[in-house]
Amino acid sequence: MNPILTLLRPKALAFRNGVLKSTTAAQRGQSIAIVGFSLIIMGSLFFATRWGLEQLTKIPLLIYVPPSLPLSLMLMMLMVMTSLTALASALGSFYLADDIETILASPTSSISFFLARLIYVLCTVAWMPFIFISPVLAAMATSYQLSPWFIPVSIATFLPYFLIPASLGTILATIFMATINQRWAKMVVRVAILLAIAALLYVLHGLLDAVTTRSADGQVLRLASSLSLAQSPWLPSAWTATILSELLVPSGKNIADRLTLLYSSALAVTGLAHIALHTLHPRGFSRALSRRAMASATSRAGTIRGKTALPQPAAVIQKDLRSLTRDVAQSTQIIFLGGLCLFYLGNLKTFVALDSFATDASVNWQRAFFIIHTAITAFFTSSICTRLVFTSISLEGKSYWILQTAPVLLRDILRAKFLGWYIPIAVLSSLLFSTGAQILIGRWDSTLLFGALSFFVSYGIVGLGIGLGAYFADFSWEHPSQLVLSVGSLVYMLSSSILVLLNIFPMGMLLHLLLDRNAGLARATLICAVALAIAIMNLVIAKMVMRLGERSSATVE
Amino acid sequence: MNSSPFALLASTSITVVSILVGLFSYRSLERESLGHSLSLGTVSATPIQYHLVESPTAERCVGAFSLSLKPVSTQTTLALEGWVLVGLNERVEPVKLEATMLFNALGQLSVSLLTIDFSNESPRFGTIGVNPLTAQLYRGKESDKPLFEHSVPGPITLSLQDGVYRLQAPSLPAFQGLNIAGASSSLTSLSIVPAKPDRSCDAATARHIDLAPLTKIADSLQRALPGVLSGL
Repeated sequence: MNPILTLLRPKALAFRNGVLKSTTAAQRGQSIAIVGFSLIIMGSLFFATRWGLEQLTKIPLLIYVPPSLPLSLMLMMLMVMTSLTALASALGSFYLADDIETILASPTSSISFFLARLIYVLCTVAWMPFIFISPVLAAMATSYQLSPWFIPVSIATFLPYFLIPASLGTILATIFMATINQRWAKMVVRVAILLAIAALLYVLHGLLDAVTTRSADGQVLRLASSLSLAQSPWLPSAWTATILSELLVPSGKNIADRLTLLYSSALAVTGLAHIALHTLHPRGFSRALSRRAMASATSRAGTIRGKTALPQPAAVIQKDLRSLTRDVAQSTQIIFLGGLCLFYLGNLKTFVALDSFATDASVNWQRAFFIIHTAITAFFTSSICTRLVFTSISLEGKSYWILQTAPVLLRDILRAKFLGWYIPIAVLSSLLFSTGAQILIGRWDSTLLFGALSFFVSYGIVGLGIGLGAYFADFSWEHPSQLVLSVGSLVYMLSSSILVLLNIFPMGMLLHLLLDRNAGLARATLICAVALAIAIMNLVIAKMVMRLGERSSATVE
Repeated sequence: MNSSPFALLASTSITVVSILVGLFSYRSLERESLGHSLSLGTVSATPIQYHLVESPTAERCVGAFSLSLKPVSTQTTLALEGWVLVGLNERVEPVKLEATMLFNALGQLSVSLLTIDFSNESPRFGTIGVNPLTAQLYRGKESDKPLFEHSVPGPITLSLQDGVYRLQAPSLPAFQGLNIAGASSSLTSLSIVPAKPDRSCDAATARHIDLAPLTKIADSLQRALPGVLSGL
């Protein structure tokens, strides 16, 4: 058999046995529920996109939104997130997996190892986004004039589109592992945290300046220019968007050149990834091994010190934090997510463009921007939770039996984990929500209200993460990045997306009520009622799912 | 694991070839964007007076106009107001020009109107819609029926890039069949220069532009955009 296929076969078999070969009725029911749930989400995405496109075509004289604009925005954001996931997956596949020592000792060629692992990284990062993209593309294809070439060309386009972040992730993972040793890694994380705090303060200062000065000159056009950033000619996501857009609505742009550029870039990055791996892998893998040894040594020392000093929830939180900072894949993702958060906050200034709109249209834009901001913030929170909260139970790994046999209730451990993650995530989410509310609405009552509500939204999202993380707990992983790319993770992402949408609707109502000029008792009562409904909904959902997780984790063998 | 130097050589060769092919394709894309997008110029953020002169060094002007961009209020507005001294069949007269362009929130031209006051004629030229963009020409101020109407792919966009407002028509090809240079030497020597305080420009002292060569430009336009001017 081809050595690449031989190396990929265990992964394919593991997938088949884990997902497709359900042995018990409960497992079969779970698989059917997951497939049904995914189909519902895909259907919802399809119909929501079609509805949105129909709304846009109803006002052709006032505004024209070419398909390339939403496509390029969506694909640019997706490429950033895919690169982040690819980095974590490459760290695991090339350096942290259990079978690497066996493969290195076998008579397999380095190119087979590289290609097999790259294909694995590509599949792991591409399957989940493809589920989200395909209904959107199908909706676009049915709304615009469908070219018969659309399906084959779009598949041919997405191959290099996903290969670029997969190879980039491999390069970054290789450089990171080969150049940064254990002591430096800690230093890098600390410096990154300090830089992040400094950058956050700088960005907040800039935001406050923008809010207080509110100079409207050219802001509308700045907004338009910001949107066209996603269509920059040097972005691979923009080439992909233009190719797909040309298939939907031809405007005479050359598809062949963009496809060539996409493939040549993907091949160039893949070639560079192989060169990097060929030259730096021995050094990087050696450091990974020593890092693992050092981590387990410090872990033992930490346990002895922390055992008697801390009460139960604090001990669990401390253990989780230590595991997080010692795990290269997790800490790298935190740094990148922090960078994304800062980038987003920095670009929030664009929303100060509201003064540039017509007085009558300004309110509608204000609502639209606020809902977009709320959705981005909530999705960002759920994205962090997918990587950190959902995986926190499974990360116990093979030592889960210690927790099961310890004189501590599993419910208390889950609650301690919930508390440990809820506080930092709620604070971050509250910062994002209230900053957005202050910029877009500009009133302190709304800033405080949305800031407070974000604590309940975070409660729902974190509770869902802990509950589903316990329900889909998988302790037989080789490296943590496998958990982010699992079916359970997909279910969590879809569930949290639904929860986000459930929150956005009443938040939109709240904004409408807040902007209503008719002050009165009825309005104040309605505001309180809607805010209470948001709080109760999140609390109930979090409690229900956490109970489900508690029951499920108690039966784990 | 076997580490073959040939694999490294192959990767290096693939990388180098891919980079070269990528650069070639990128240059091709750049050429496409230059040829594909019609650049209509840049606009200053502050209202500014311009003089139309026969050459940048000429003492006497042939016209003057002001251009103002208002990104506040209902929507972004680009307004032009001015005059040009023209001569046709030995009659010299100032032509009054007034144009307004309205841009939506995405910086796309949604409505525009250019009014020309010349002798007893007041033709109006305007566009409506974003994509397609329908250009219309009316004979007089009161006339409702357009003299000609033609739709072209839109949108025309006003974007702010690096602090400069750029007016572009990404869906319109750059005019290649339009041969203004060969039509009239007097028109090609015209330049637009920012007005200076020490140089005044009024209709009494200005030179005039001979409009006779415009017929040649009309012929050239007919060749560049076949069918557009057939209604005239």
